[in-house]
Amino acid sequence: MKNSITIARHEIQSLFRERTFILLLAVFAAMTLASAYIGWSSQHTIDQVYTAAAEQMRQSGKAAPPSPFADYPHLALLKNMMIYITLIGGLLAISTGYAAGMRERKAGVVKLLFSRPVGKEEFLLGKLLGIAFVLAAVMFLAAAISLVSSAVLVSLNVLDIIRLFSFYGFSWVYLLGFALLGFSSALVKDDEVVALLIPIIFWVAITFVLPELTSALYPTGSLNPTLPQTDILQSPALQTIHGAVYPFSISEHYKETAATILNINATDAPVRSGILNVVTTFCWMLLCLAGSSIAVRSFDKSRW
Amino acid sequence: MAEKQFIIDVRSLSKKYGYHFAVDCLNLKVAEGEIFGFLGHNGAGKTTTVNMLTTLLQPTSGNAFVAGFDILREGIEVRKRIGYLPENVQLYDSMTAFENLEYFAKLSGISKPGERILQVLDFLDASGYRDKKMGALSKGMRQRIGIAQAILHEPRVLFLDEPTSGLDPFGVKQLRDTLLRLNEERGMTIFMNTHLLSEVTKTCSTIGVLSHGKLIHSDSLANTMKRFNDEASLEQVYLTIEEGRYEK
Repeated sequence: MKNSITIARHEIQSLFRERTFILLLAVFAAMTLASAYIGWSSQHTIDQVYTAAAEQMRQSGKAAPPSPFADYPHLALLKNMMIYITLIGGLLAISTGYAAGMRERKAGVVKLLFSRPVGKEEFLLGKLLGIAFVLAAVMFLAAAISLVSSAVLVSLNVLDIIRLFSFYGFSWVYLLGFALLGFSSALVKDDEVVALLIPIIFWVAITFVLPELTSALYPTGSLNPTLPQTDILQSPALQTIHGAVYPFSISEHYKETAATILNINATDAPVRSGILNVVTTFCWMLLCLAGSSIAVRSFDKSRW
Repeated sequence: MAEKQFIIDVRSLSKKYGYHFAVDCLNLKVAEGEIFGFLGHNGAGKTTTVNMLTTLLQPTSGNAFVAGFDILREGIEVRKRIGYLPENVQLYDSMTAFENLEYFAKLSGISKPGERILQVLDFLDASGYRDKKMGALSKGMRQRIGIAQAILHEPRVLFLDEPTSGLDPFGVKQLRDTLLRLNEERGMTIFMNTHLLSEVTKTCSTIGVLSHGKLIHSDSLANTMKRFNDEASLEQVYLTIEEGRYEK
């Protein structure tokens, strides 16, 4: 275990020195910072439109109805974050896992490392701990940015803060799956390009292709990708496709659970299947963990 | 007279790739405190042998004991007692020499390695490079940092795979002096793969000659030279031994 901690610390130190990682982290942090403002800005525009319309009604002698947007949840201004997490967060996680799996190969130190009294499992456990810690640090940083930027724009209560940190904690579970995928691929594939391509293909399928076959079938889904509110599927073919693909649409499950955690679907239609959402996201991470265990077992240090 | 202690004891060790034997039933003993030169042509199986003795590679059959431990069943114990320097020393380029050494020292079980690293760098006359990034160091300097990595935990046996490869004459001399000092001052056993015969005469006390995976000669350098006339160079000796194998 002592060696695993040494390796984990080394992994953390090395990752924070990598240009690709730092670049993706900077983009992610910037998007996180912008997210609250974008959310606030769109909400503010809606409020302004309502105020102007209400004023016009009053001037024409009519009574203006109360604003339907007055009770909008505070954390709704972070609704873009779940999109950024599936997009940039996913790439950041893959890059983290891939870099961890490739580091010794690229540096050419595999032989040197295993000439020390380090077991294969110890080495790989250290790597996994390092990846998990780095992603946790990234999520904590994002949570801190979101907390500060949201607090500047709206007043948050304790429950909001708990929801915000829970959201990032859940996002960590989702992203860990991608990181483990990148790590496993780097361990088992000889070709560096193929090793990177495999998790990217998974990411594209999970982030873009499967949602196209699920929430995008709902017309309102394209307006608000987090909530397919109106169930107007009428074609049996589309319903069949949706029914078959939806359980595997991991990013959909993630986004729907995240929306529930942030409480931003309170005024809209209920989430289709809360338990399925949470279970699928955790299953995704556990499946990737099982995949990385198989990769660890088949990892042959003498090949490098 | 006390019985000679063998720190490396190789018993019928073989490594097969497909139908090809890279190492074929190797039997070899190296006494503690020796500098052993393992000679052979390219592809003779020297690196494969070192990889098996350092537990980096699983043998197909046979066994070996290094510092009294079984390479098959007690790999971790073997690794605690050996140092290893590969042919091309590669370390983490984005880290400084000190950071690299600190990492490897911790993996070798040294919990607070700072002072030990400074001592070793001083011993190798490399203190000036401690804060330099590995990527910025010359081949010779990398080699010295590589040796520092290999001796930090004071191993009983040091395995070197073609250590002079790619070094300039000054680097070769520095390396030779370092190895002799390690052997004389610290009593370290050194197992060196090489095909630089000139270095063997200046450094090694015992030699083994490997050809096509088989050990065709193993004796002290002095005895080997005695079997030939005094004017024979090691090169001639080596070629004669090699030719002898073909004649058989």
